[in-house]
This record gives sequence, C-alpha cells and structure tokens, in this order.
Amino acid sequence: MKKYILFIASIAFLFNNTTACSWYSEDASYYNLFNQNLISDKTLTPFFLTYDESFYGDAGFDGETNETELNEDIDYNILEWKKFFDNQVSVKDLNYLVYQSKPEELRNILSKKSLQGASLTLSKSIYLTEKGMEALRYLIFAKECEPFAVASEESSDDSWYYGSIRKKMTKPEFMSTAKDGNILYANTKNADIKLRIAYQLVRLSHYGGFNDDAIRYFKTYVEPLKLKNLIYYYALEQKAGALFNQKKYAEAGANYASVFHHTPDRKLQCYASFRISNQMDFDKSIALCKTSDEKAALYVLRGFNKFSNGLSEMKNIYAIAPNSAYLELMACRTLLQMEHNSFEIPSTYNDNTTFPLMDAKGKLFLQKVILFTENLVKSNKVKRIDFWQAYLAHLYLLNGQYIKSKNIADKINSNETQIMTQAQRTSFCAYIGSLKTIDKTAEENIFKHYTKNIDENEQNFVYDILAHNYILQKDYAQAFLCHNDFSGLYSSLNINIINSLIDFFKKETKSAFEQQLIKKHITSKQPLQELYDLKGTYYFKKDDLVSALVWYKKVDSKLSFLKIHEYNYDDNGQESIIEKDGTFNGYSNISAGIFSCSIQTYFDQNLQQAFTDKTYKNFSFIKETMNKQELVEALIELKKLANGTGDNAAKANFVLGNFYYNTSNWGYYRNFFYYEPGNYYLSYLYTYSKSPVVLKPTYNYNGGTGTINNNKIKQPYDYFLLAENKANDMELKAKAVFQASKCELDLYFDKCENSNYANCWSYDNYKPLYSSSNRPLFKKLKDRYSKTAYYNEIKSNCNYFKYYLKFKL
Amino acid sequence: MRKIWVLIFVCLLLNSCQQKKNIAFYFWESNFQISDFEQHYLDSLAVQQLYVRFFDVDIKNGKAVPVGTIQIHEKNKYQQIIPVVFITNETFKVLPQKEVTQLASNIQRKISFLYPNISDKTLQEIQIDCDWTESTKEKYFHFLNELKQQNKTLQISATIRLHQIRDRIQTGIPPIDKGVLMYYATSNPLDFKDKNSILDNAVAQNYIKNIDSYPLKLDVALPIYSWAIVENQVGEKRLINNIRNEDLIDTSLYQKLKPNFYVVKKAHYLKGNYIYEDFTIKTESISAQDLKIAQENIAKKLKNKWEKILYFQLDSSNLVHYSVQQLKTN
Repeated sequence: MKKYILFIASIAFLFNNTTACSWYSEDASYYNLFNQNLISDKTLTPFFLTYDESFYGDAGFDGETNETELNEDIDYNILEWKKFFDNQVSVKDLNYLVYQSKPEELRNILSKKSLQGASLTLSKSIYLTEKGMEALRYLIFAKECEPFAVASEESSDDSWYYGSIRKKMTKPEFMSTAKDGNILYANTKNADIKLRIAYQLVRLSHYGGFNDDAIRYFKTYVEPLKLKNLIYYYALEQKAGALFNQKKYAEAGANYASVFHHTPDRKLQCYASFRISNQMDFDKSIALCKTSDEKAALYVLRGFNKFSNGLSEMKNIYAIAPNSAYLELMACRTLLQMEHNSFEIPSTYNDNTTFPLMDAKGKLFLQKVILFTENLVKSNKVKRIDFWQAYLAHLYLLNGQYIKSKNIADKINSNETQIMTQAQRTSFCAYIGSLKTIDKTAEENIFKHYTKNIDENEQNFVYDILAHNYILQKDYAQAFLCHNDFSGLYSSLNINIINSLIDFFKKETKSAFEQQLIKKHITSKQPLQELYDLKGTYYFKKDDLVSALVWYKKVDSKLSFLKIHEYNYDDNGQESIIEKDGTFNGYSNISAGIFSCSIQTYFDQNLQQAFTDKTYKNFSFIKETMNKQELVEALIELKKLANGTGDNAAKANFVLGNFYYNTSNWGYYRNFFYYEPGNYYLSYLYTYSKSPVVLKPTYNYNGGTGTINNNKIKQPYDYFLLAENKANDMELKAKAVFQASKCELDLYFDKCENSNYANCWSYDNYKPLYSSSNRPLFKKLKDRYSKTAYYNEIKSNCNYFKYYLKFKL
Repeated sequence: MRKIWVLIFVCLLLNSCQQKKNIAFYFWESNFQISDFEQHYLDSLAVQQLYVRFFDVDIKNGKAVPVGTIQIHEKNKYQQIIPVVFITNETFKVLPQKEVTQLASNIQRKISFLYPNISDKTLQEIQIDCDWTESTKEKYFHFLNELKQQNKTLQISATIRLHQIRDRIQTGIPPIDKGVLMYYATSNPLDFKDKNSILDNAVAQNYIKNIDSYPLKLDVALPIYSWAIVENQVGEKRLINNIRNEDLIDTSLYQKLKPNFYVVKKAHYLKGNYIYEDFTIKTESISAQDLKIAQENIAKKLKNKWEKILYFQLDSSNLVHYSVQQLKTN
C-alpha cells in the first residue's frame, strides 16, 4: 500500500498546480461559515477538516509545527502521575521526576529510604511511601528501557543525518531487560505501577520486534489487572502495533479503534498506524470492536481521508451510535467539504457569476446530505437536536433555500452559546442570500447586524454577495465601496463606477449604512476632487483631450494623493510600508521631461539623466512643471500646431511622439496613466505576462477593477514619422526616425506577445531585435541620415544599432 | 562508380536496420526487493541497469529534507544500480540559493550511505528527477553543477520532460552529462478528459518536433504503468496506481459509462483504497502497440542518437500485461 502512495505522490507532483507556495492557503480560499468547534468532543479537534495541513491546528504527529493552541500540550501521562501521587506533586516536579531525573538520583532515595541529599524537586515525602518507592523503582526500570524505545533518526526519514539511530535490541539484551521487568512486576503490589511495568514490557517487546512476546505480555500482565485507565490503552496501542507487524490487520484495526476512542492523546498515532485494505479485514475488525463507540471510531479512521464520502460514514455511524461525537465530526467534515466546493472566494476574473458555485454532481450530493439530516432531525434518536438543526439550516443555506434556512435557524433556542452564534450567522447569511434587491430596509438591517462584533469570514461573505447584488442593480458606487478605496480604480478606470461614485458623494443625505460604507475604505479628504481627476484621466487615457479638460478644470490645483511607497523590513523580517512624497502626486508635479527623449531610456535614472532632448523648449506654453490640466492644454495646442507644415509642425509632432512614447508601457512615464507615483512597481506592464485589453465580467469588485492595458505604441510611431516627413532639418529627421525605430521594436514585442514569444527572441538570441527584417527604420537611418551628428550619437550609444551595422543580418 | 553504389547500398542497409536499443528499468517502489517474475523479465531482456529511486526531496518548514527513503531488503548482484533522487520543483522555489551546495552534498552523502546496501558494484551514475521550470532553472542548474563538482568521477544524468524539450528556450538546457526524455505525462490526468494523459502519441509527437537539435545526449523512458483517476462526490480527484479496465469488470461494483470511464455502484476497497458509491473512475494504461508507435516516432526524430529505453517501471503488476517480446526494442 505504501508503495502506491509514494508513487502517486511523485507523479502527482507533476500536476499539482496548487502546491502550497509559502503564501497560499487552501483553507483561506473559501468561506468557512460553519464552526467546527460545535463538535462536542474537543479531543477530536485535530480531525477537523483542513486543506492546508495533515491535521487541523498543526502539522500533527510528525511534530513539524507545535506552536498552535492544540499544542498547549496537556501531558496526560503526567496527569496520571499527579493523580497517582494524590495531587501532592506539581506538574513541573513530576516532569523532572519522570523525564529528567537520573536513575542514580532515584536509587539514592531508595537505598537511603530518605530524601537527604535529594534535589529540591525530588524532595517529596510521598516518594518514601510504599507506593512512592514502587513508583521510583518502576521509573528506574522505565529509564533502562528508554534507549530501546526512542524513535530513531533514520526512521523519522526527514533528516539527512544518521547520528542517533535507535539502539537495536539483541535477543539476549531483550531477555535480560525483560527479566528485570518480570521480577519488578512480581514484586510490585500497586496495581497502577504493575500496569505501567506491563506497558513497558509490551512496548519493549514490540519495538524489539518480538511481537509474540508483546501480545503475550499484554494477555498475561496487562489484562489480569482489569484496570482500564490511560496506561492500559497505551499498552493496547503497543499490542496493536505487534499485531500489525504480524499482518493481523483486522485485530490491529479493532485495537487501534479502541485506543482512538479511549485516549485523548493517542488519536493521531492511531490514525497514522491504522491500515486496512480489504473488506474482509474491515468487517472482521468491526466485529471485533467491543462497543458501538469503538465501531464508530473505526468508521472515522476509514473515512477521515479528505477524499472520502463523509455521508456514507455518517450513515454507518448513525446506525450504531447516533449520539456519538464522531457523527458530528463526519457531518462537519462533509459540510466543510461542500463549502470548499461551493463558497470559493470569487476573484475579479472569475468567469462564473453565480454563487454558491456548485456543479450538478455536488448539488446531487448536497441533496443526499439534506435528506439524511432531515430524517435524523425528525427521528428521536439524537439528543443534541440544536446542533443538528443548526447543521440542517446551514445545509439549506448551501442549497440556496434561504427562507427555509432562516426559519430553522431563527427557531433554534440552545443554551450553548456557540450553537446560538452559529444559528445567527446562518440566519443572517440566508437573509443576505435571499435578497433580490438591496433596498433601504436591507441596508438598515445590515447596518444593525454589523454593529455587533461578528466573524470576519461572515463579514467578507456578506460583502461579496452584497457587492454582487449592487452590480446587478447597477448601484456601482455601493458595489465598489464594499471592497475598495479609489485606488481600486487606478489600473482600469471604469466610467460607470466613477459616475456612480460622483453621484453618490454628491448626495447630501446619506443613510447610516452608506456612511459606514464610505468610512470602511475612503480616507480621502477631497473625494469629489479625486473623482473629477479620475474622470478626467479616463478621457485622457482614451486621448479625448477636450472631455478630459472639462473635468480637470473642476479639480483643485492643490490636489495631491499619491505617495511613493517603500517597503522596510526589520530584523525579524516584518514588513512595513513607508510613505514618501513623490514627484508625481496624482495630479500635479509633472515634469516637462514627459515631452523629451534620449537615445537610451534608463528607468532608474533621474529626470535630467533620463532626458536630454530639449525640442519641447521651442513651445513656450510647455511649463517645466505642470498639472494635468496644463498638460492637456499643452497637448491640445501641440496637436493644432502639428497639423501645420514646416519645422515647427515637425517639432510639434516630434514632441507629441515623445509624450505618447513616454507614457507607453516601455516609456519612462509608464506609470502615468496607472496612478503609480514612480515607474518602479510596474513590472506587470512591461513583462510578457499580458494584461487584458478588455476585462471579463466580474462577480464583484473585490480586488479592484483589474488592469487594462493602455499600450498604444503605434501612436508615437506615427507622430515620429510625421515629424520626419514635415521636417526640413536633417538632425530632427534623424532624431524622429530613431525614436520611431524604438517604437518599431516595441511593436515587434507586441506582436511577439500575441504569438509565442519564444519564436521571436530569447535571452540567448537577440538577433531578431536588430535584424534588418524587423528593423527597417535602422536601414532608413543608415541610408538617409548617416551624415548627421545624431547618427554618430546613435552609433555610439545604441547597441542594437551597433550590432545592426556590424552583423548586417 | 560501382563502388559508390555498393557504399550507398551498405549505408541504406545499416540505416534501415537500426541498432537495437539496450533496455533498462526504473524501480520506483519504497521497498527494494525483486520478485522472481520481475527477475525473469530482467534476464530475458538482458537488462544491465536499474534506475532505483532512493528517496525524494521536498520542502518542509523551509528546509529541503529527504522523504520516502527506500527500504532495501536485498543486494542486487546482476545490474548496475543507478540511484535516482526525485526533487520537487517547490524545493527550488523555496530553497535559498546559498543552501543549494549543502543540498548537493546532503544528497551525495545519503546516496553513499544507502548504496552499499543495494550493490557491491562501483557507483557510476546519479540521476536527478525534477520538473524544473523557467523560474527555478537557475537554482536547479546551479545544484546540478554543484553535484557534478562534488562527484567528478560520476556521470550525472537528469530526467527531461516533454515540455522542457519543446520550451527549451525558456526552461534551458541542464548542465548534465546525459538526459532521459520522459516520453509520457502528455497531459494533466486531473483534467479527466477522454484523452490518455499517460501517453497520447499524437500529442507527444508535437512536443518533440525539434528534438534532433536538443544539445544533450538523450535516452528515452517509456511508460508501462497504469492508473485510475478517481473523482469523488464533489469533483475532487485522486490517482490510484496499477488499475486497468480488467480490474473493473465486476458489474455489481462498477457501471461502465463509456470506454475507460466507470461509476462506482457500491462502496468497496479497490487495490487497498476505499472508494465510495457514485465515485467516477477513469482508467489509463498503455498498450504494447502504443509503445511500438512511440518508439517509431522517437526513432524518426532521434535517428541513432539514443542508446537505450528505460521502462517506467519494474513491477510485476505492470509487467504481467506485456510479454517479454513486446518489451524488446524495435
């Protein structure tokens, strides 16, 4: 069996796209609205459903992470000792006695029958009683057995080292140690200590590979004591291991089920050791289980696998132990599996615009679970009826039966607070689901509900549905404000949302809910001003300069809302964001460099270094620093001049070409239309991962409105060629053709992006980037402008051009 | 003139009867023990090399650790044993660059610890199996270089997947002595479509259009494994190994929906895995005919540039479905 698992694991790696990156959480990918903590047996917590780990709350028995609430470890063994010593010894001192003390220290006490000379932690008078001394003798023996029982490094498998392999026991060693145990057992009167000695002997035999002896010790030493406490089950687990080694899987399975049921701290180990792989063994194992609860535990051991059909095991458990917490456990696992399947957190680009998301197969399964639970609730077999009603109400919620769900949830009157909280959550989610439109009453109800302190998951769920409904009823502002501040619009300026937001903010009276929506995300002191800027920029981005100007004229010239962000990491790797004033503040501080150019564009240079060309200085209306209104006015003016003839028109075309090139994805000002304060954090625009030109319909605006590509590199290309065409000055012509050739390269990249770019060029092969077939303007430069001074500058500063001349491809 | 004709004839003759390929096997189970039945295949096919998966390497808590180390129950006297280590791509995504050298030496040390238990022959080659990608190539290649540096006398080989042949510009060419083309896994089995995801010869052919210019010596691994892709009640999928249509003929347990697709009628154990009512199963396996076509397609492209075929994998439950004759190379 193990070999299958390994093989599957190694092959499955090939196809597992969701393999957890360090930041990815499958558990956080869906809305879990049903609380698994409602399960009545808290020792089952590790068996709650989780997709991120092997066991809920931590990585479980292999001890990878031990920092969660689960591992505020209760040491049940120490608690047994505490009981044994009539609560006279503290947990701390017991820890020393059991795990840290040296055999010599204990022998000293025993030989002197006095605590004289013993360390403070061992100075307990109860150790000198008869049972105390028997305990000390036992502990000396247990410490003798320890080297044979500690798991080896080698078998733990996840270590590269082989330093401390568990001591392998020889037969004579085993015989000798076992003999000491036998004598001690015979000489000990206290039954609890006898049981502990017997446990050591069973374990010693099991770990030594003497399986017959392990089973014999259990039968002759453990069973006759008729003590069914924790240590008995520890011993039973060891016997199960021996049976397993003898391939008696059915017997081992029944014993593991018993240990699983009766111990709070050995459940994970039982699950890890349990292995039944055929029906005959399973049936035999069920028959060997002594109680209904143990049988139910066996069904859990089989059905715990995330892939299982929980309903099937629920039916099995219900038939024999309807009030078992195992039934609640399997029910919760089944429900969460369906939540995982249907309450996936919608993403901006989600194709599916219906929610809950569930295919026909999933829906059919849900019907079956509902039918089973309805019958269970109707029957009088279960005592914890409130739990099951809350469960059923939640199933109806998943099934989209909102009224039914709410009715049942509202009727629950439990004295368990957690059940009441769950019922209220289910009821409210059902109410939200039932809303066809979000009207004033609905908003009021939501507002009231949120004045209570509610679960974050529920809140996110409600806002997702709410935002979706607002989109359906075309209340775009409200839909947008459920998840965003204005920056959610920056990469894709959606005019419907902007218009709706302007109306929304202009409204003089706003309901409490609307005010809360604003408060949730918007911190701006001039929201309307920012919206006017966004609207102006929407038109600017479309190159509708006249409309842009209308809106920019409404903007306060002092408006400033963009800051440069820097990420700072402290010694612990904790990230914090530092905000600094940037050059471009969202509306103003735009340098005239936006109309300039140079042979090479270096994004990390300052403006003076990045731009050397001063052609724009021919136009007095271009100020050295502008706001968007002044920039648009300058562009309008330039466009008028560009229509003319002669060198002035050529210069206007050239400067326009620079503006459109600089604001393209490959330009120094590529951040301009995306509301980034600098050009640094925009890799998504110039790498080859394509951002869409048109967005798909969204479920809601959670995560913003997406990114729309604004790369129109043909525009500057055309302006530069017009400049060449209209210019008389050869230097200007050369400049214009060279800048056009940069656009030519970018057009080539664009083309590559639309095909398989691997065929276009690669990091090993730059040739296509300077071959004459792809760079006809290089040829033009060489043929017509080789006598210009600018041509020589290009030759020294542009490598592609150098290669073009050198290799003549 | 006559001499030239004779020469041409001899060349044609040599070309038409291509050299027979050597045969090797992968051994990918967790317990190393060769059954008599498996030994019979090894003997009959004159197998000289066994590529044995020694352990996997994966990331746990940010550290690269060995996982699923092989349990060696016997020493092999006949074949050259080549240790194979499967490293998850995630390992190279997460592992800091500065720990790559340490990983290479950890792997080397663990192999030298295990190897004497499996063979008395001198260790000649180590093979690394990793589905590296463009984002991990730098670290992975650095790792391979380190491994070579630390084992200069050994041949270092690595598996090459089909997409790495096709997209070589992005994924790069690993710095190794020799590669093994994994001529399988042509699509994602979890897609649950009609196509055979283990090997669809038409799809595979598309991947190797330009293989003749791949700048590494290559051997070829062919699949003889089978599996079932099982879909549960909420559409999640799992793989169960060594399942073929013949395993699903009991009509009280399975209803056939269409070729290779079944629905489970009653919960039961299928090769040790408990599967429930309403689960859907798709079986995938590779026929001897598929293997033959695959070999022909590869031969057309690689001509005589490859030396051996490695079957994945040596296991009686796979072998029983192929005769020795069918596994002999063309």
